[in-house]
Amino acid sequence: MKYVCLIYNKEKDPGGTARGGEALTVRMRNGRLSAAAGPAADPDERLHGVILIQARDLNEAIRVASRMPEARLGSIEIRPVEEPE
Amino acid sequence: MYRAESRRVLATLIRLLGDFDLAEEALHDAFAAAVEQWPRDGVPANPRAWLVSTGRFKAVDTLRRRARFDASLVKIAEDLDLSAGDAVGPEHGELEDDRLRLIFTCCHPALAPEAQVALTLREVCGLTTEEIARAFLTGAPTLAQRIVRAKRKIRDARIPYRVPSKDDLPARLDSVLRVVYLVFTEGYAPSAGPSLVRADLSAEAIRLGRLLLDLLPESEVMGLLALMLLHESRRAARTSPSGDLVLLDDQDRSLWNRDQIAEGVTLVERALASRRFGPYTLQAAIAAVHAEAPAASATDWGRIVVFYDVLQAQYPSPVVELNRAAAVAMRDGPAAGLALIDALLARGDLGDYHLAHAARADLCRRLGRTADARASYARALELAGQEPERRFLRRRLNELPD
Repeated sequence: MKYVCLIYNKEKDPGGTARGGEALTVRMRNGRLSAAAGPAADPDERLHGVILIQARDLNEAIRVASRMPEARLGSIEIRPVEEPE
Repeated sequence: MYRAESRRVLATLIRLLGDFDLAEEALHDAFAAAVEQWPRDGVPANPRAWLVSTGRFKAVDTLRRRARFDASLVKIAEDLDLSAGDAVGPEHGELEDDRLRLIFTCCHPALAPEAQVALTLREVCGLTTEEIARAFLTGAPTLAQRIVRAKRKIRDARIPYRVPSKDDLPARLDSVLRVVYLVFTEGYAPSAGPSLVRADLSAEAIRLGRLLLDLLPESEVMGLLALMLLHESRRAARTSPSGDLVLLDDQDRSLWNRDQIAEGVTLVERALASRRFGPYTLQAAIAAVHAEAPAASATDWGRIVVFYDVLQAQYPSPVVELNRAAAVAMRDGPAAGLALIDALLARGDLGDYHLAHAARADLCRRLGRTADARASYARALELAGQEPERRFLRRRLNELPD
């Protein structure tokens, strides 16, 4: 049995670890892209995977996420990650 | 001068400096310098370009000053200084692009909807935080906090200062249009408060719509502007002197603003002719049919039902279905409309929507089903939040025969 751990904390600057920003959720339905502020909040959806991507800015990140096949079935939550220097 | 130019100059400074707060500070410095120098040395040939380059130099100064405390700013200041030569004479087209960039950035879907509205009114329209807070009946500190958070998010999540590419444009334009329409409806039908309309916000939304159409002549932008103008044209007729709601049927059509109607109708026709129209154009087309009827009894309900059919097919929603049912009732009689509304309520989608119960009550009243009408008016009254609407429903309830 494996478990995935997504670590959440109200602390904004944990120091030493990677720091994630606020969430944005992307969905593709009938060829239309919808992006909305906030985490993927559908309680019926399960976590299906974690992918780390490199993008120039948030628009590119949204574009990459919207092209993942999963965006057409479920939803993809994007958070910017700032790595410690 | 300040209101007209400051937003253009700000939009360009944000692009050059890459930071909202720094750009705002630079804008104030540039205008302060203008107030001091222009009366003495004369107004420069291109005031806008002068303001942009002055703002930029002021920002470099600011960064240098701060750099004494924060070494990481030295490089940013140097880079800005080196590239300063290029931006002295910005072209007209580039400045217009900057305004569009600013709109798309403020309406980015990564920001919460209420933050998009606040940021757009603050940065694009130039309203003060106090003015926006008053318009939305929130405290200024709450609103200021919302704007600060949005700006921080733009920086931290790297929301780019860019007009979306052609592929992304439709989805992104939707969110811009939604913000403009939200501003309009908050002015036209405030969700709370004693007054039925807040003219200032509607006027601001129409100004935004015009600006957007200037920058981006898409058919849905035309449709939205037309929709706002056609609604706005009825403003004077929509409330009685005592502040009560006047239904479309009972409005004094001589009070309607003919110039706004003519402009709205022309825009609708252009948008429909493009054949790439969407929900705003269709709603505007329906408003145009009403606007062109010389009297309520002369309304072309058949045409209205057709537009609702197209709307329902492309963008299905229970509210559209409800409106279609009301139009069918006008075309085919109250019994036909009531059957549609009852089916809709039976599905449970609109059980908590006061207008659904009010519409049902009205049709029952016309059919002489007084007891049903009374029950539905009472339910609508329980759900309605706006004081003038509640007064209207209470009046209707009292007018029912025993």
